[in-house]
Amino acid sequence: MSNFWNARKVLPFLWMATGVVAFTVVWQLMSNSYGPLLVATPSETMVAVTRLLTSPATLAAFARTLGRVLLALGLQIVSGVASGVLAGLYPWVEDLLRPVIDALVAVPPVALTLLVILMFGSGDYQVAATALALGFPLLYTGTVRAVRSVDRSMLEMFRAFRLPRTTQLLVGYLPATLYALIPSILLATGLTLRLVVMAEVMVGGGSGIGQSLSEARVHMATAEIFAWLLVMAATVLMIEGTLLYLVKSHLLKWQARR
Amino acid sequence: MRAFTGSRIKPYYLLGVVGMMLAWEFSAVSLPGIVPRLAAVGSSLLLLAQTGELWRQLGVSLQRSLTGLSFGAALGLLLGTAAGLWKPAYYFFKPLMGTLLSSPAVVVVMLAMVWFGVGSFMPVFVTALFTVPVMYVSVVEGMELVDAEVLEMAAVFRISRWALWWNIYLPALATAVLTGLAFAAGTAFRKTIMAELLGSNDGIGYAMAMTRFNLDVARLFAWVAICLCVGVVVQRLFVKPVASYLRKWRDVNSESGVVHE
Amino acid sequence: MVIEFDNVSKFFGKRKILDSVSFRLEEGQILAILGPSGIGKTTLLRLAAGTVKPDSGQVRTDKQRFGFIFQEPRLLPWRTALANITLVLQNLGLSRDEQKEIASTMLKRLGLQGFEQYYPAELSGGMRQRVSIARAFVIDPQLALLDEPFTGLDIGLKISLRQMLLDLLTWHPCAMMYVTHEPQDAVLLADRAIVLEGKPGKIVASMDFECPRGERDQAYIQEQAAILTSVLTAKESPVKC
Repeated sequence: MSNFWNARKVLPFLWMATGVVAFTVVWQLMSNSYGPLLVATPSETMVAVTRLLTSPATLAAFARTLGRVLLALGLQIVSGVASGVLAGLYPWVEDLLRPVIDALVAVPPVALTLLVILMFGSGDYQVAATALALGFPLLYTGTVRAVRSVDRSMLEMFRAFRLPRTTQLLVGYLPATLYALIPSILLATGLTLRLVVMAEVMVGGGSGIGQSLSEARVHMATAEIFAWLLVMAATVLMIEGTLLYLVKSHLLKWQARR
Repeated sequence: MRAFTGSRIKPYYLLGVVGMMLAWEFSAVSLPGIVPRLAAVGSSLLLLAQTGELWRQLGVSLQRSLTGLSFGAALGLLLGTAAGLWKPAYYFFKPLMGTLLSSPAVVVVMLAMVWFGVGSFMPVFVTALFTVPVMYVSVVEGMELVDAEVLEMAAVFRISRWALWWNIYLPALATAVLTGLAFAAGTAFRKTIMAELLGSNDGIGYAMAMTRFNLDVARLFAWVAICLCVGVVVQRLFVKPVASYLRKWRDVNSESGVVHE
Repeated sequence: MVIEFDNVSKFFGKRKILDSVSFRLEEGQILAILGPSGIGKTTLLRLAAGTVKPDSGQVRTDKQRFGFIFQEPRLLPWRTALANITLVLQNLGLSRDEQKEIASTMLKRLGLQGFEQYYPAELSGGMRQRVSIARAFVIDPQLALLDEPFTGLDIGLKISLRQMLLDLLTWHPCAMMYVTHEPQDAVLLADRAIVLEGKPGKIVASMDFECPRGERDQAYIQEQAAILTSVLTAKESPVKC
């Protein structure tokens, strides 16, 4: 029995490792045939990764981008939850906001970014605002769904014990909504990072990862671009992992033995 | 009864549309030279339609999206079926798909620009590449729904392999492909526009980039409006119906298409 | 008088659920409500608690504190057993420490000492229902409303919880409306039983148990339960006892 469990736990990792190795080999082969200028070798990329993570300039760019991501994400959560709760409780609010959400969902993000740049110039707030506008629908719809999913029988309990409406909101709706929102927040984190980097690239001459990337492209430094790609993927995974861990270590207390 | 607001006429929706228009017009009046008037956008749109520019660029972009979508979806379907049927394949592709799903498309666009230069192939490549994981995830999830209990039932009743495929796997696969296509359609169009905007010499994205150099905000708005129309058509025609059909028997978020920029 | 239903009718959409229900509950009286499922017994409790309003007729009461015990525990999963109980105490103008004190005394009385900091998911089904009972009685209710609180629990648990409820009534004497579908339950706990029948639901029988609760022996319980059962099964002949 214990053998069985071990195999189930270890095999996936083995296969994943095989995947990583296989793709690295393919990568190396491509690099051999197209030349390291077009396709930087894996080892060159690793060198570039360490360079990125040790040079103060790139670290500053990284921090700048993360700052914008956090700003946008925070604003997304606050505005998305606030409007989502209202829309969840009052269907007419949802109808009223629907056109705005439809538009934000349908518009290609680059187009909106370009609009913001053209109208309001480029800067920290413009980048964050773009990411806010584009990430907002995700959290908003997530909140609406979460509010709608709040257990009606729980609400009856609040009413039967004549608890005030504020208690119902703070003790009932808010936790239920927040816990149901966790998947949306996780999705929004990755999305926002990608949006911010995109906005930075398009702004041009700004700062942050986007700027480093633009420079790397001009110099055809594919190793640098690959390295950023890896660093960003790792960052998203790390942020999601940490969030998930925090959530689970708290949630596990009351979701135990389900 | 709040859940059942599906099909009745929604006056507040119209009010929201009107409110948006008014807010726009108001900001156009109060921020002259920054936000164009609705009328200016309208005449830009008209001009684009009259000169034929609209149809030409729209045709180019749509063709690229569709080409990228077909290749990407086909590859995603292939890999997804493999991963759905054989667990090791799922783990084998996991790192690659994870990286693809979490990497910003701009970065890939830049790489593609270095590799292929500016032209028609670059946007198609980027579109295809980012359609793969969307289809892949949809297919894998769809196959996961063919649960062990159904398979056990099939084994107990000694249902033939052929019947198993015909009655259990194929329907699941068909639904998954439909979902994947619906969600991927939006993704594909966005990626094409992005790739064109950053490095191409025609298509809607390119036309948008040109407005930046000409500082023609009204024309940019006109192009955005066109993209909006395409987006809404994709949402209403493909994503919404598929999502509401699926929601009957499993949890689907019709905004799933939004998670990629 | 604790509560009075005066010709109360209730519709759900176009369907009439309850048809001119009238009864009066005096201080300390326990009323058992019996009838087939879907007859509107739960609606009757909701009307009493004031969470739904009657479509015609009146529900008269001057009481403020209602303790509701639902069919399922209905605890907030993200609050501990103790916090689920203090939740309902906040209307009474107590300090935080007093709330905790009262709540843990209540838990102790229901044999849940040491489980104060457990989350509902960590408790067994019977323990959860005990927390729910504690929550209803902690506010020292003037009227307790019980909606088949022991269905779905196994027979041993049912008996011990029923005993717990009886003990609790000596600590917190209060009027009670008790929905059940088991005649035995009704005779064991109640002073009076009413039977709802038909579509829409009407009171078709009412029955007083004159023997005081403490003095009912097995024979009495069985005899009265048999009468109730005959009323419940023979729908056409309303028996007036």
